Amino acid sequence: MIISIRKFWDNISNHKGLRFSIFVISAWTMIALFAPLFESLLGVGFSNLQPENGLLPPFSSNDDFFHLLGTDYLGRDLLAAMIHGARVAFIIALASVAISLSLGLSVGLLIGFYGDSGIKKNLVQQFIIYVAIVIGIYYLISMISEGVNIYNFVPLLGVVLTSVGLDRLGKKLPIKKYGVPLDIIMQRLFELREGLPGLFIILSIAALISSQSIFSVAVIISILYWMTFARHARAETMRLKEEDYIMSAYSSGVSNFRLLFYHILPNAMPSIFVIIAFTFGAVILLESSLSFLGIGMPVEEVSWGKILAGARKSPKAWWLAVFPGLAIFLVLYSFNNLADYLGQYQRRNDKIE
Amino acid sequence: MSCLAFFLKDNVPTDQVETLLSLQGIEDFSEEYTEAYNRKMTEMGMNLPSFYFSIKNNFTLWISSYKVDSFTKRFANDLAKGRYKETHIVELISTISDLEDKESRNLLICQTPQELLIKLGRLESGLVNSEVISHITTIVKKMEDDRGSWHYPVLSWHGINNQYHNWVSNFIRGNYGVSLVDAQPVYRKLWSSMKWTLMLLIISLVISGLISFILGIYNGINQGSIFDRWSNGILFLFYSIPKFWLATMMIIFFTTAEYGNWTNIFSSVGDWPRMTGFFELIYLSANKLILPIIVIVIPDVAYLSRLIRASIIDENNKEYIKMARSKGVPKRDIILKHLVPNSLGPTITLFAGVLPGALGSSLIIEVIFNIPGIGRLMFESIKTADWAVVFPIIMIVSILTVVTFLLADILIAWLNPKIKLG
Repeated sequence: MIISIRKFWDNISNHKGLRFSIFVISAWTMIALFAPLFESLLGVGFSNLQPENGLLPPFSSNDDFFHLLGTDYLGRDLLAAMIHGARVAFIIALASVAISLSLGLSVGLLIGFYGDSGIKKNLVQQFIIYVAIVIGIYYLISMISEGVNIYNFVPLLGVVLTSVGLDRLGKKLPIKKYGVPLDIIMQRLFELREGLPGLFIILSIAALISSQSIFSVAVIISILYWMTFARHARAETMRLKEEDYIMSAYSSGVSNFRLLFYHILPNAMPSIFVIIAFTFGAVILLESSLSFLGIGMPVEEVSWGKILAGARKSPKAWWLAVFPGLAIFLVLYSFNNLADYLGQYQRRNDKIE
Repeated sequence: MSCLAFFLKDNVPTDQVETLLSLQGIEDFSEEYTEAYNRKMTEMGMNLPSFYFSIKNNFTLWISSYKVDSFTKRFANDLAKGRYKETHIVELISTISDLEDKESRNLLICQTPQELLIKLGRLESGLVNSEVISHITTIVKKMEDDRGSWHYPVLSWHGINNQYHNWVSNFIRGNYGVSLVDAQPVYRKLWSSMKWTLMLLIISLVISGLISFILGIYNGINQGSIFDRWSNGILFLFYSIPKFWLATMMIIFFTTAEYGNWTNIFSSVGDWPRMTGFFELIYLSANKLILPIIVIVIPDVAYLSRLIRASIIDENNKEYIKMARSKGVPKRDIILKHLVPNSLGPTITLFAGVLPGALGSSLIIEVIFNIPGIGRLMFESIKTADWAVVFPIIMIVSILTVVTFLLADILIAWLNPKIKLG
C-alpha cells in the first residue's frame, strides 16, 4: 500500500495535467527558495520605491530598470514583488503545514490507536493526571508569557515527575479501572471546529495578536488546520488497526510504540499526503486572502494578496490584478490537482490489493 | 463555542470601558475620570470575575478582599499578576491615591512598575512634589528587589455572578450591548447587515444548487462523453480560482470605463439602497448584485457539481440500476425514480457544508463589492477594534452553521428511513 516513488513516477509520466502541476509547484518552490538570488539577477528589489515611475505597464523600461511586469503605484517592480511574495507564501504554507502535521498526526495516531478504552486507569490515577495537566498548563502559560526561567521550569519538571511517580504508585491500588476518554474529548473539539466559521476566527485572532510576523500568521493558521490532520490520521489509524498484518504483529508481541511508528504510521502516510497537498494549497489561499484584507500580516511585508489589494486602488493597472492572481490560481490549481490525483491513485491501489 | 468567543473577548487589548467613556466625551486624566470609570464599570458588570472559576498565582489571592474602587483594583490586580508582594502594592497605591492632584493620580495608575517610572519622569514638575516622587521611586525599587519568585496556581470559585454568565444570558435574551465605535445597539447593526448576507447567500445558493444539480446529474449519467470530460476539466479549473481574485478582476474590468465603454456593463460599486422592503431591495440593487452572485456561484458550482457527479456515478454502478435497466425500465424513470433520489442523501450534507464556506467567502466578497452585509460589518469592526460587535457576529454565525448541519441531518433522516436519529 505504500506508494513507491518509482511506480508513482511511472504513473504520472503520461498524465499531462499532473506533469504541469508538478512543474508549477517545483518552479515556484525554486523561486521561493532562491528569491534573493532572483531578485539580485533582476537588479531591482521589491522594496525599491520610485513614486515617479508609478504604474508603468508591462514591458516598459525607465532610465534604470526594465520592468517586465510593470510597476505598482509606488513604482515598485511587480516581478520582484511577486518573487518575494512567493517566498512569503511558501514559508507560511510550509511552516503551518509542518506545525499542524506534527501536532495533528501525533494526536490523531494516539487517539486512533488507544481510543476511549485503550489506556485504563483507576479513578485515583485519573484524578492525578487531570490535576497534573491543569498545573502543567499553568506553568506552561507562565513560560510562554515570561520566558523559561528557573521559577517555572523546575516546578513543571517536578509536576511531571511526581505525577508519573504517583501514577505508578496508584497502579497498585485494588480499584476498578476505567478508560481515559481521549477520543471523546478530541471528537468534541473537532465538532467545535466544524461549527466555527474559520475565516472569522482567524481574522479576529490575527487582529488580537500584537506582534505580527510571518510566523504568527503561520501559527494562527495551524491552530485551525491541525485538526484536519488529526481527524484523518485518527480515521486512518482506526481502519489500519483492524488489518490482519497489524493484528498478527500485535499477537507476536510487538510493543505499542513499534506498532504505532513502524507499522501503522508508514501505512497511514499515503492518505496523509493527500491532506498535505490539499492543505498546502488551502493555506496559500488563506494567507493571500488575509493579506488581501490587510489583517495579520506585518505592514512592510509584500505578498500576493497585498499586491492584489493594491490593484483595487488603481483600476487602470490591469497587470496588478492579473499576475499575482494568476500566480495564486496556478499554485492552488496545481496543489488541488496533485491532491486529487494522489487520492485517486491511492483509492485505485487499495482496490487492486 | 461561547467559551471561545468569550475567551477572545476577555483578552482584547483595548479597554472597553475606556473606549465607551471616550465616546461620551470623558477624557483620560480628567478629574471626574475615576468616578465615571467606576460607574461605567459597575454598570457594564466588568468589575465582576470573568468566569465561574479562575486559576491565578498565589500572589493575587488578597486582591478579592482589597477594598478600593474598581479603577484602582485593576491596577493592583495587574501588579499582583506580575508577582509583586501585597505590602508593597498597598503602600504604592495608598501613596498614589493620597496625591492631591487628581490628573496626575489618574495618569500614574498603570499596569507595570516600569511604565510607572516612565510616567513619573514625564510628569510635569510642580504638580507633584519631589519628595513624593522619590518616595514612589523607592517603593518601586523595593518592589523589584523583593519580587516573589516561586509561584503556584490557586483555583478559586466565583459562583454564578460572573461576566461570562451575564454575557451568555444577555446574549440569549437578545441583549448584545452597544457598539464601541458609534454607541449604536449591536442588534440593530447585526440585523440590518444580516438581511443583506442572507439575501446574497440564499440567491447564490439556489442558483448554484440548480446549475450544479443539472450539470452533475447530466455529466454523471453521460460519464466519459466529450462534454463531460471538458466540463469536468473546466470546473476543476474554476474550483481553484480564488474568489477574491475573480471579484477583483470583475470589478476592474466590468465596472470601470478604463478598458472601453463596452466592458462597463454593470453599475459601479457604490451606495446601496437604504432599507426598504425585501423584494423592492432586490429589485433596486439587482444590477449591483449580479457580479457578487456570479463570483460566489462559479466556485460553488465547480465544487458541488463534481461531487454530485461522483455520487451519481457511484449509484449508477450499483446492481439494482443494472437490474432495472435489464428489466427494460425506461431511462427517464431510472434517472428520476432511482438514481436521483438515492444519490440525494450525501448531496444534502455537501450542501450544508457549503454554507460555512459561503459565509467565510461572503466576508471577502462583501468587502470587495462594498455590500453592507455581516462580513463587511465584521471586517470593519475588527479594523476599528469594535469587539462588542465582533463576538456576537462570531456567535451568530456559528449558531447558524450548527443549525444548518442539524437541519441537513434531519432532512437526510426524513429522506432515508434507514437512518435513525439519535
